[in-house]
Order: sequence, then structure tokens, then C-alpha cells
Amino acid sequence: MATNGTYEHDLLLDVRNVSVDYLASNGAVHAVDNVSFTLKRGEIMGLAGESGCGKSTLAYAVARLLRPPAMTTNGEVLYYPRSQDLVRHRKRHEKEQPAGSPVAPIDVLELTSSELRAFRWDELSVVFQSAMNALNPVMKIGVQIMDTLRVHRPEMKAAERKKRAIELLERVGIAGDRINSYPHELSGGMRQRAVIAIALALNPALIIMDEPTTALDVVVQREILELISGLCRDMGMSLIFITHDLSLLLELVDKIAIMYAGKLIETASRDDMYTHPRHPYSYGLLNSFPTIQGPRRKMSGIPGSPPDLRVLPAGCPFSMRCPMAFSECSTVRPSLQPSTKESPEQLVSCHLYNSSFKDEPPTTKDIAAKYEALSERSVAR
Amino acid sequence: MPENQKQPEAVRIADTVATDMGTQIDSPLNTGVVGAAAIPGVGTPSPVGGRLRDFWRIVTVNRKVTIGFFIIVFFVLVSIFGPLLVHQDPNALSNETLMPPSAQHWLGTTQTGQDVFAQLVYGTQSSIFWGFLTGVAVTIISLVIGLAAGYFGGVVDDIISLFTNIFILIPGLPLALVLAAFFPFKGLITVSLVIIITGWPWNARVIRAQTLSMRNRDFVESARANGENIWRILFSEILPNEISIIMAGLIGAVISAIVTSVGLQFIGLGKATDVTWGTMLYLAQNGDALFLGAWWWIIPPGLCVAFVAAALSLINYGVDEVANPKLRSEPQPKKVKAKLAAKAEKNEKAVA
Amino acid sequence: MRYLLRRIGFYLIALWASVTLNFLIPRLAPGNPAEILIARFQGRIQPQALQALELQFGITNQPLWQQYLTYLNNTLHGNLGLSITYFPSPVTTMLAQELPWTLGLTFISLLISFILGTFLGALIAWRRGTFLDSLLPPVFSFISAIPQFFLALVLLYVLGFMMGLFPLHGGYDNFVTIGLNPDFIGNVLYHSILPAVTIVVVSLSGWMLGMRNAMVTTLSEDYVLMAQAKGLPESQVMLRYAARNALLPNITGFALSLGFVVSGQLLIEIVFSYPGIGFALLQAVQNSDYALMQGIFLCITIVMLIANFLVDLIYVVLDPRVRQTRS
Repeated sequence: MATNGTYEHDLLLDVRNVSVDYLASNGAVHAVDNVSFTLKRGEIMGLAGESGCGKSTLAYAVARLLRPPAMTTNGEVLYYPRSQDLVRHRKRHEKEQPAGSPVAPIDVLELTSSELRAFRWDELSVVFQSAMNALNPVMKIGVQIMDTLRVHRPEMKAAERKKRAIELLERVGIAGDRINSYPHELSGGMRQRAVIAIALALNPALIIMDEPTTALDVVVQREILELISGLCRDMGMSLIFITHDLSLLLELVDKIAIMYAGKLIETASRDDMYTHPRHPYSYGLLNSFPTIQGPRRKMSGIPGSPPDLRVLPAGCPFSMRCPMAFSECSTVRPSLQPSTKESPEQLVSCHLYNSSFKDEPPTTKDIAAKYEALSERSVAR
Repeated sequence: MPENQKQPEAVRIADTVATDMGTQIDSPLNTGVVGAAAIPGVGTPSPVGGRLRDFWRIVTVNRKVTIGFFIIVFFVLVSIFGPLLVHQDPNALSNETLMPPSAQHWLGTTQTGQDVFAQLVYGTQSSIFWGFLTGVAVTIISLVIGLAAGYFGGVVDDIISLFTNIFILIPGLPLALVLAAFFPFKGLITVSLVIIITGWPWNARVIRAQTLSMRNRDFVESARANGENIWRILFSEILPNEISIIMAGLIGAVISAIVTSVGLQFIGLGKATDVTWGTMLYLAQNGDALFLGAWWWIIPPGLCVAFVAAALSLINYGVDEVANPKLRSEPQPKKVKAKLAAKAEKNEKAVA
Repeated sequence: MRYLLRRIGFYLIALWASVTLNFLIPRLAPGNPAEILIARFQGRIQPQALQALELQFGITNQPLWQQYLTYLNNTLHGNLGLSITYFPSPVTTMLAQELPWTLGLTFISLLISFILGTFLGALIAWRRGTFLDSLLPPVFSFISAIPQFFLALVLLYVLGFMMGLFPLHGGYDNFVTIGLNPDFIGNVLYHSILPAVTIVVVSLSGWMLGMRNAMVTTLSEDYVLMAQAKGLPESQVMLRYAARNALLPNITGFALSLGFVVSGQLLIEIVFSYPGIGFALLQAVQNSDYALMQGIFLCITIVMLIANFLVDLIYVVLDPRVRQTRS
């Protein structure tokens, strides 16, 4: 998490109460419901959850890349630009800031289209899930890097742009002469690297990666992950890494956020999440993967399937599948709160940690026991 | 869901990965669920009343389809019942030549005193009937050829494809002209035959492509592995999945047949004594109807052709839109939001 | 490269097939058209011409394959026989006279309607859900369903006859001296406006709708989203990312529709009495001028092949994926 240079503020991104709806003619589906989180400079955050939980939607909302019928209905995405970029991006904030004062953030959701265009890729870039689909099939990949340079760095000359493109490709492990290749001439792994190279073109402060390794085989997956973590270390970038594969995150990230049915149900540092996941769902996710070492044990998994977002129950959305649910769970909706006195930075959205409902929060062993009991019962039938 | 519902959850993560990898949205051509089957609510129809209701739903689901459908119904009704209701003989000559529309002759008369309106009605019967017949014939031929090429593959496919591509390359109307010129008999049958000879390649190509992709599907492979009879495979496995493509092709073929036959007749390849829209245009053109200002003679038949062709096209486009939702004109999110807000308000008022 | 070679091979086969077709049709038609023709002209043309006709139609006693070879030989040497309508001009002379008119009209109209239609289609697909998007497609669907020649008739009547704005027939006025002088050229252009407008209006809708549909599919692709995410200006995204890719299926469609273009062109020439090969074909049919008919048919086929080949070339340039040899 190295940071180069001094920054006015350690915070990079402050997402507050963002909600996204999908508008259909017969009603709105709440794909993302009142989600808030923060991200520091140089921090790597993992965003995990099942398919359809809203993680990609949330990320796209932050980047303002949602397409109709999706609409951001609420919230702010406060972004703290690097101080030296103040002049370039914040033309409309005319009042002079005295030197040394904290940098005022901009709300990404409120940017005008020209401000947004300047903001995009320069501050925040995106790596899409399927590299083959994300690359323009009729354009050379060198050109796809250079056109961002052309638009955002008009002072660069053609030769400089070319040099930078080659430099970027080599940084991600592709031979420089490939700038004249078309996407279909590259292998799957190379395409993913190319997309990462494009994302790095303007040295952004934040990159959002949407399941960048899902479509790749395990060996290539490993290489890409190592590449990503190396780049973050060297360049001090922040990263939001979206995946459904929790085990990937545990190696890569500094902090993890877990979503379920459009809501953020737990955020924790990597170590906290690994040693004591608070939310029963997080526990279930973590322990769905068999370990290579350790004793053989029965796989528990999480019973049931994700809910239909159109007909969410009152109360906690996970209550119907939760092995530890009690009466209030299905009537009162929980909110993201510090979990225990010992680990107040680990936030969880669960009534088990609400002192007005339960005197003692459960330990990890308690959760484990409940899941074991569940699997025992299912075997017994 | 009750918490003791058992499901193989550990495996589900693997399933999720598979779903994520298969995010490509297949075009309707590739999914095999096309056209009517893609309309929500229309699956396997329940007996009798169910089928009628499904049919009605297909017709009303899309505005384009509805408009097109009713126009066609109108013309078909005219072609069936028209001649019975019209008392004038379309071929009867009279002394009232080139008269504009009047109470006696609703659409005026021709150069030889014939009643234009009567001709139009009789012509409807002729043009629509022959157009439909020709279209069906073209579709059947292209179906057979397309199925053969797509199913058998290999050398058979190569030969058929070569043949098809050559015919597509050679422009239809000139070939039709040349053929019709050499046939000694002019008339409806010749025109139809000529259209059939020149019109089959288009749909054959489409059906071939679809059959090829069907053939590699698992359900066909398993049918073959089971030793099912070729005919059974073709007719009960492959064909039902291509119904909507075939229907779209049929509609296209009918449009083409009607328009082309009118075109051929217009340039004189039909029999002048037949009463069809095309021959009306031919006689009108030769009688210099335009330059004599006799718009009532030359405009109505052309308009009829235009309406029929437009109606059939509308049906095709409409069904296309239903099958491929991306093509529909979507209301903007603001409008949808406004609509929802209005609905919510209405509900509130209703409750209060 | 291999792709192009395969296409050339196909075109050569197609050429051979249509030449053979040309040969076979008059000989296979029921009733012997040649004999009918000759009977018709008996006593009205000189013996040499009659003999020439007989030879041309194989009213010789040579076996079929020999006639075929003679025919092929003749064709390759450009000997397409004599035209009856314009007797004694050889068919090739007539073709040389009429072809430029058709090519000129078609080429320009096609270019205009393709470019305009494609651009319009891209534009309205880019602005989904707007007024243009709900107005233009249905209007143009209706227009494209109207038979071309009928539209030609209507335009001729309204703009030519009623309003007297445009000439009613012909490619040029008779009183103008033919040649590359501005008077003539201006006159020619004036006469070609109505036919060109008809062609453009009818084919425009086809391209527009095709491009719109292709764009709609392309716009939902990830690479367009990524282009927007890169902060590129809208025009660049629409043109270089979306339209450029949506163009490809349209170009294929363009090649396939060339046949229809020619057919439509034929009818329009007939309506406007435009001195192109379409009009000449009709006259040939009416006069049973078989030599000219066959010559025109051959000519049309060759033009089609060349046009298709040109489109193939363009496609190879536009789509880099085709250049890679398939394993």
C-alpha cells in the first residue's frame, strides 16, 4: 500500500447511501439498496457476493456507467482528487483554497458530461469482465490505448503516445510489437492483460476490476493476480476488485465488503474476515470452499438460493436461509453497525450483534456449530 | 424457503462460475427459442380454446402486428367476398371511357369503359390468391433445399450451397424477364412459375444456416445416437424449432411474390385479359393514364399493392421485435419513472 | 488472401453457370422461339441476316455440345450476335451505348442512399427513444414496402406531369448536342434527378433499418461501454466503436441486395424511359430480340459479379478478422 507523494487527505472514495433501481414498466427492482463504504488511497478492496447480489451494479454506479433501465436513485459518490489535479478538474469551484487545507471532494454523480469525460479514465478506470468483449474487434490494441492518451493528454505527440503504449504493454507482460495486433490475434490471458494495460494508461488513482479472472483458467488467473498486486504496490493505485470467489480475495486485498440481495452486509479487513467472519452469510461463503490442507470435513454450504429481488421479505433478506435466524430477523431490517467491542471497525448488518436483541454476540465457533448441525440434519433425511 | 430445504450448495458456486462465463446473449437465431415461443405466456398451447387464445395474444401483443394483421384480413375478406358483392362485370366494355369517379363508377372507368372499382375487387382476388400460392410454393421448395443442405452437410451441402449462391447472385427480375420471354404462354401461371424459379434461394439460405446450427445441438445428436429415423429427426426435432423462421420467410416470400408478379405483369408479361392489379397497371401505363390525368385508374391498384406489402412487412417487423426485445423502442427511464409515480399516485388516491 | 481467392473461384463458376444458362434457355424453352421468330421475319429480312439468325439459334444440325462450344467461343470473343430491334447493329454496340447510362444512374443513387441510410440508421439508433426513433422507422418501413416502380409512377405524375418540374422521359433532350459539353451534362443530370430520387427514397429505408438494427445490437456490447468509460467524446464512440462494427453485417447485406437493386433499377428505367440496359431489355423482350436479351442478361450478370467482388474487397479491408486464415 505504498503511497508516493503527499496527499491532502488519506481518503479517496466515500460512497454514501447509494441506491440503484432497475426500472421496469411494472415496478422498480432495488438492485442496490442504500450502500455506503469508504476507500483509502492505495487500498485494495474486494467486493464479493453471489451472482445477482448487486456488486457489479454498485461498481458501475460509482463509475457512472449504468445503462437504462438501471438508474441511480439516491446517494453520493464523493471522490477526493489528487491536489495537483485541482486545476484541471474543478473549474467550477472558483473559491481559492488556502494551501494545506483539506481537498474538497467532488460528487461523481453530479458531474456534468464534460467534467465526467475528463474524470473518466484519468482518475477512475474500469477493467471489464470479458476482455474479448471489451476490446473493439476492428481496432488494433495499440490504438485502443492511444486514443485515451489522445483525448486526455493533448500535449503528448504521436511518437510519445506510441512509446507510452509500448511501455504499458510491456509492463503487463506483452511484447511491445503487439501494439499492431488485433484482439482476435491474442490469447485469452493476453487479452486480459491488454485490457489492464489500457486501464493503466493515464495512471488513474482508482481502478475497478469486474471479475477480471473469471473467464480464465487457473494458471493464467494466478499470473494476472500477481500482476495486479504488483502494479498496485508499485503505482500506489486503489483497487475495487469484484468477484464471487472469496478465496481469491483473501490473497489480494486489504479489506473485504460482502453484498447480499443489494445490501452491504459486512465490511472487514482481510485478517478480520478470515479469522472471525461476523455475518452468518460471510461465514457460509468462506467455508464453502474446501481447504487443501486440514482435516476432511463435511461441506456445509448455504441452504436455499438467493431471493428474488422483486419480492424481498421485510426484515433481513438472508433470514430465510440463515441457520441462526430468530424472530426479529424476519420483521426488523438490520443496518450496518460495528460488530463487537473488540473489533469495532468490522461492520456487520446483523441482529445477532445488536445488543437490544441479543446479549452476547455469537463467536465463530457458534456459527460453525449451527452450520454443522444443518448439514447433519440434511444428511439424516 | 424453509431452512431445511436441501440443495447441493457447494456445487452451486461452480454453477455460478459457469453462468458467469456464459454471459454471451445468443441471438434469437442461435437459441432456438424464437418468435412465438419467445413471447411470454405462449408456450405449449392448451387444447382448442387455448390455441385460439394464444393466437389472439400473438396478434395483439405488438401494435405493429395488430395493424398489419387487420389490414391483411381486410384484403383477404375483399378477395373472398368482394366479387360476390360487386355487381359490375370488370370486363364489360362501355362507352363511358376515362370517366373520373362518380356515383355509378366508384373509381371511374378505363380507356375502354371498364369499371375500375370492379376490376380492383376482382384483381384483389387474383393477385392475393396467386401471390399467396406462389409464396407458399417458394417457401416449400426453399424449406426442402435448406433442410437438405443444413442437415446432410458435407459434399451435399457444398453442392447445394454453390447452386444457391449462384442463383442469389443472378438478379431475379432480369432472369424472370428472360425466362418469361421464352415461355410461349403469357399469364398467371407463367408469372408464378418464373417467380418460383428465381425466388427460392433466399429462404433456403436462412433455413440452411438455422438447420446447420440445430444439427449440432445435443438434442439432435442424441436423437441420432438413438438411431432415430431421419424423417422423424427432421420433422419432430428440427422443424418445430424453425417454425418462426419459416413463418417469417413465408411472409417475406408472399410479399415478394405479390410485388414481383405485379412488376412482371406491369411490363407486359401477364395476359392482358386477366384481371389483376399488375395487368391493370400495365393497361393503364400503356393507355398513358398518367399523362391523360386518369389517376383513378393507375393509383388504386398500386396503392393496394403497397398496403398489402406494408401490412405483411409490419407483421414481420412486429414479430421480430417481440422475439428480439432490444429492437423495441424503449421508453426512457424518466418516462418510466414518471409513469410509475403517476401509478403510485393513482393507487394512493384509490386507497384514500 | 485465401478468402479472396475462394471468392474469385466462386465468381468464375457463377460466370460459367450464367453463360451456360444463357445458352440453354432459348434452346430448352417449349416451342422453339427461334423458329417462331424466323417464321415471323420470313420474307422481311435479307437472306444473310436470316442465316445469321439461324446460326445464332442453333437451327443448325450440329449436336448440342458443338453449338455450346461455338457459343462459348463467340462469347469470349465478344461476338454476341446482331440485334433485331436496332438491326443491323451488333449487340455489343448497343450494350456499350446503354450500359453507361445504367451504371451512372445506379452507382450514384446507390452510393447516396447507402451512405445517407447508414448514417441515419446509426444516428437514430444512437438516440434511442427519441422522437426520431419512433417516427422514422415505421414511416420508412411503409415506404420500403411500396413497389419501387409505383413510387416512380407517383413521383413522375406529381412532380413531372402535374407540377412540370422534371422531364417526363428519356435520358436527355433531343435538341441538345451529345458530347462532353456542359449543356449536355447539365441536361443529363436534370433528366436523371427523378429516377435517382426514386431509387434513393426506396432503398434508403432498407439501409436505414438495417443499420439501426445492427447498431442496436452493437450498442449493447461491452466495448462500446468501455469506450464511454474511457471518457472518449460521443462522436468518437458512435463512429469508431459502434458504427464501425455495425457496418459489417450491413455490407454483407449490401452485397446480397445488389440483385434487388438491379431488378428495381430495371423497372425504374422502364417507367422513366431511361435509355439504360433495363429499358433496352424490355424492348428486346417486346420485340423478341433474343440476341439482345441474352446479351443484356450476360452483361448484367458480369456487372453483378464485379460488384460483388468489389464488396468482398471492401469487407476484407474493414474486418481484420477475415484476413486471418481459418484453420
